Amino acid sequence: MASPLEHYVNTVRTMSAAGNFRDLVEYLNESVELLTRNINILDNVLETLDKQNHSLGFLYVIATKLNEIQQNEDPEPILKLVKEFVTLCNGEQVRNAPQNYFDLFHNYTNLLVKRKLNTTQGIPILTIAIEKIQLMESQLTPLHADLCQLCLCSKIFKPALHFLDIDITTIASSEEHQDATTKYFLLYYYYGGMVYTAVKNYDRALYFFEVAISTPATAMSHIMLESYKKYILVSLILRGKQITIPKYSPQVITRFIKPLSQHYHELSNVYINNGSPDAVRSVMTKYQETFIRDNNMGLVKQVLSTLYKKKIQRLTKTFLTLSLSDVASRASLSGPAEAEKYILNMIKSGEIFAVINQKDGMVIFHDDPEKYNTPNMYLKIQEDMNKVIELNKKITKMEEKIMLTPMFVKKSTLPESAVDDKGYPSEACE
Amino acid sequence: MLQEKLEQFVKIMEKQELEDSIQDPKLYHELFAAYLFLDDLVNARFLWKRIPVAVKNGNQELDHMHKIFLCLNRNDVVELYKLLDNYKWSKGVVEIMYELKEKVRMDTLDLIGHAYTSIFENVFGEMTSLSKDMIEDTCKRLNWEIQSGSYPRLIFPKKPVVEKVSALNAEDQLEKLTSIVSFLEN
Repeated sequence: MASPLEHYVNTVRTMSAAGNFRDLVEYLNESVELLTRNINILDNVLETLDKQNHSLGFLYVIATKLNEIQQNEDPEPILKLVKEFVTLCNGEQVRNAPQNYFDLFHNYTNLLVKRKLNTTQGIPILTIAIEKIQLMESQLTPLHADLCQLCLCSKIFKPALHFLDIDITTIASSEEHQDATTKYFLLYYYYGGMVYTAVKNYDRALYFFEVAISTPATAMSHIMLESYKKYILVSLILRGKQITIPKYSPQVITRFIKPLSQHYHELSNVYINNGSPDAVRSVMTKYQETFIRDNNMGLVKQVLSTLYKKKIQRLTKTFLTLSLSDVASRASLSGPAEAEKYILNMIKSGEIFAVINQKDGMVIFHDDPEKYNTPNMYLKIQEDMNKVIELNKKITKMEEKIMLTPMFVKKSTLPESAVDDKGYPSEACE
Repeated sequence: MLQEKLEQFVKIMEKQELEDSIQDPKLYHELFAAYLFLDDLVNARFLWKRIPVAVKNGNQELDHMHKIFLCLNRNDVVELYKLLDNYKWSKGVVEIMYELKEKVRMDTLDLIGHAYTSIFENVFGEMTSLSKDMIEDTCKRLNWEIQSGSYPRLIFPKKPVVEKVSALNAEDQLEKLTSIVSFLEN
């Protein structure tokens, strides 16, 4: 073994044993070049290090190996190494070099996806990787996005949902790589929205896309644009209308996003204003290319199929009773039999409340029978209230934290004359 | 019973698939059947997409299950009964498929109770896959009236009564309610 590498091993061993991780990370950061230069003999180094006791030293070596992997190189050995590493590594140690840890798994995910390898094998690995680095389960890490991506590629969603269902309260980031954190933050909400769309939890999907497009920004990201397109489609499927994007979204979004998603706007306009399936279909064919290129054709088709349901739902607001043939003609369905089928399905899924009378071929629409007087409803309200109480507590805590920051104290204690009419310090004082 | 057994089975299989993919193709049949029985259509859809092409190709049973999935997806019970009856299911899934039919029938009866005030005998028979005698028995059991007359007779379903169960005692409820109100007031 070349002597600088021997020195590397020795330093890792001594510093790890002494628990001197901060200095070790500094040393390791300087050694990256050394490792890259000796890429061919790194396996020897790995043999002398222990995954658990020398997690940091090990991390840097496999990160370098993975980073430098050649196009035609067999990926199996390195995949196996990552797998062993993630199960054995010491979370406390690697938390000293979070960015390298994140990069390792970003590269790992990329390798699986780009080379079209079996992405399923990455799911348990990313799951462990996240759990090891997290301080609490409501903490978002950049690796969440990778997990979602792998789940989407493998079409297995439960492992991702396990994380997605937890509301995020803090974000793990490394200070020197803010940009990367933002990218993975957006990706998490974009992929997360896609996962929820796949499992037809449209409510949650809409929320995820909304977070992606309302994230503060000074320039628009492609992730935001794609989220916005899906946001339009999901809001049509779920609500039958286009929901305006939140007021607190960055200005740059409101200004640039619309011209860039013209075709989607046209689809939603026709859907809402014209409402005839033929018109929607013609827009679909007209912009088929765009929808297919954006991989949104499946969603667009679903938009069309909800059109009939939305029409029937609208009828329930106007009529108390209606003949099945009337329903068919008003909802542009082929005949009473199809209308009955639609209504039956909608009753089953709880989308409308109605009864069919086959004797006279009529349908009678009812109001929602929920009277909010059952114990179950009470339990639900209680659950929701608990969430609100928790949220309220969190906000109070955050507010206290802000009040204690020196910056805030400085600005809020300025004399009145130094504050402009909006309550901000006037320029002269800054 | 079967429900819980299948839920357990699904959990084990999902774990196995993540850890080292499903080797025995028969297990795909059972997992797919389990999803169908549990009415977990989302997972059934993606399982179908995940099953390797080599396993799917020329596999009649899986193909048949997929057709059943499509029926469940569009609520086509009439076709569903036909598919379930006209195939000789393999040993691993025959019980699930039999129970699936019973379950769909029960669900459909429940739905009819909710969705119809009157329904023709022949439609009722198709939707539940019951013979004429069995229709009469079922209606009698459910206390649904059948109008006498020529075929097809009219049946007047009644809404099933939902039993109200209170899981909490009054004192508990009151206590929680107090804490909620005090939060809102402050």
